Amino acid sequence: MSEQNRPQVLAESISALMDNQASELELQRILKASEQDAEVKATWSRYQIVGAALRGELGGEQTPIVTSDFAARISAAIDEEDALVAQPAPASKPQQGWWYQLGRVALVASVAGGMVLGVNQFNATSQDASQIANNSAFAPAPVETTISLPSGINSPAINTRTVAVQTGYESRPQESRRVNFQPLQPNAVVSDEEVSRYVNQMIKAHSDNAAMNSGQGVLPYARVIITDEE
Amino acid sequence: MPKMSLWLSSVVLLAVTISVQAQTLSTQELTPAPTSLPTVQALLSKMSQNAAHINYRGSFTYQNQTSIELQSFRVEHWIESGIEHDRFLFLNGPERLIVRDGQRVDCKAMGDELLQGNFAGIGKSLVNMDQLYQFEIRGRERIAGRWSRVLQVIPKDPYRYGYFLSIDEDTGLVLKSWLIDENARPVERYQFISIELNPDLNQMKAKSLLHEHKAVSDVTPCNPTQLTRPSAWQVAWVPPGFVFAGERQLNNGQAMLMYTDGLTTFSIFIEATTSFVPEGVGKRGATLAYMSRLLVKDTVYRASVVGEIPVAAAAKIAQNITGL
Repeated sequence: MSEQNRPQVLAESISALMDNQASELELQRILKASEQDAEVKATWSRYQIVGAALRGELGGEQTPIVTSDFAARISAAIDEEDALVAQPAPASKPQQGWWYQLGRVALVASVAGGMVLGVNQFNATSQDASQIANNSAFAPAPVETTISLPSGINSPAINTRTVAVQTGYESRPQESRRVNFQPLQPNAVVSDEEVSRYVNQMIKAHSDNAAMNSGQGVLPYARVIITDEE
Repeated sequence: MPKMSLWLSSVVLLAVTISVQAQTLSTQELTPAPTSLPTVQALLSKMSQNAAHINYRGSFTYQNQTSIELQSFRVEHWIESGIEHDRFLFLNGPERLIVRDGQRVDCKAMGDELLQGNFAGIGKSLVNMDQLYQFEIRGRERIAGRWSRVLQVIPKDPYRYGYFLSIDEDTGLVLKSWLIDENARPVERYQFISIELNPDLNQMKAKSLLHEHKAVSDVTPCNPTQLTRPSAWQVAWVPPGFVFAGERQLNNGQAMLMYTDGLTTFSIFIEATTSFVPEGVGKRGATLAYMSRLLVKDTVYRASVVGEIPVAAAAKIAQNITGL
């Protein structure tokens, strides 16, 4: 990367960060650059001012946003932000104190001096941010699906709740061999693995019966799980 | 803005739904339907017998209640010198192949006899399938590029599940099958996406290099002429209409007893044990295993009822197993 287009690329990354679209890599790059390069901080500041102006948040008296006394302004910004953040509340998560708040404030990229807080604290907030991202991307939210019958069938639609996936995305369907076990004796110490192996072995043997005696040909073999140990 | 787009998309969805319905209606009117409706009995017989006599290769998808994962399979079936051959290939996950060879094409298992209504030959005490299920033909449906008859099967007691079966009008193959539980929820769905009739036999007979699992053909006797009982166990109660189809001794020492009512099957597994027997209900997909401990003449047995049946049925069956 040449010296000339480097600020340009960084500026794009900062712009992405403003929109909360920056990648982990870009974030690291901006943080590193901001330690050495005052221009990066200035760019961040300018973007924030532009952003604030666009959102109509720029009052007459608070024109110079990044100067000094940032701690006071951060707390002021947090106080202001509370009302804004509380309203859209995407998921009704309990308030988790100051660090959580700070994470959210950083997330919506609305604190002008956020960067100036320093690398250590920013790392903490970016970790927060990535955790939030993880949660939203991978949390196994219960799926509720309504399956309606095909048009050829003239009966009322069947409603079904598809069971939520327990382990998230399964890239190898053959691995979904877990048997859901409800013990009769609630206190019994039973190995799930042992029960799964026992039940899967019986399902396999039973499929020979099903394939022969249920009039549907070999379709029942789709229920069989074959493992390598056999 | 988001509200607007939501509104727009729901309007589009509605429009699509309406047009699809209109299209279905018009195709139903335009397509010359066969002059006479097949009877339920003819449809069931075709399903259980015709499909065994054709050579085909097809792909289908499978989904069950435990996992939202959609799985896919390829099946091949051909007849050579009166013997059936099946290849069942897992297209998702690790490469697996189930091979089933050696069943005679004229073999009618107990399930086939029941489906074809051959009760008189086997035993007068048998319950007619009409007393177990309510059968209704629900029009036609096009699946995997082929026309099928939709048969809705509603159980008349709480001891078995219901079905939607779409049966190929030409070949009798089950092109689509839904298993419906007591709460009217589908627990399992199969659906073919393509079928090729009379494919190149040499290609299908080619030996594969895959990890093969040999399935047991003729696991229950062919063309039974009378009702039989398990040789070493007594099962004092099974749901009405279920018939003992045969038994096996598995390599791991389990005795396996097989039952069918024509559409639904369950199997009982019994083995002597000296270790702790976990009791309870195990479930994966549509299949349920009711596991229990059985004491016969000071010997502890592990006895399990396994099948695509409601827990009420499995529990009652398990409680009625005794030694002879």
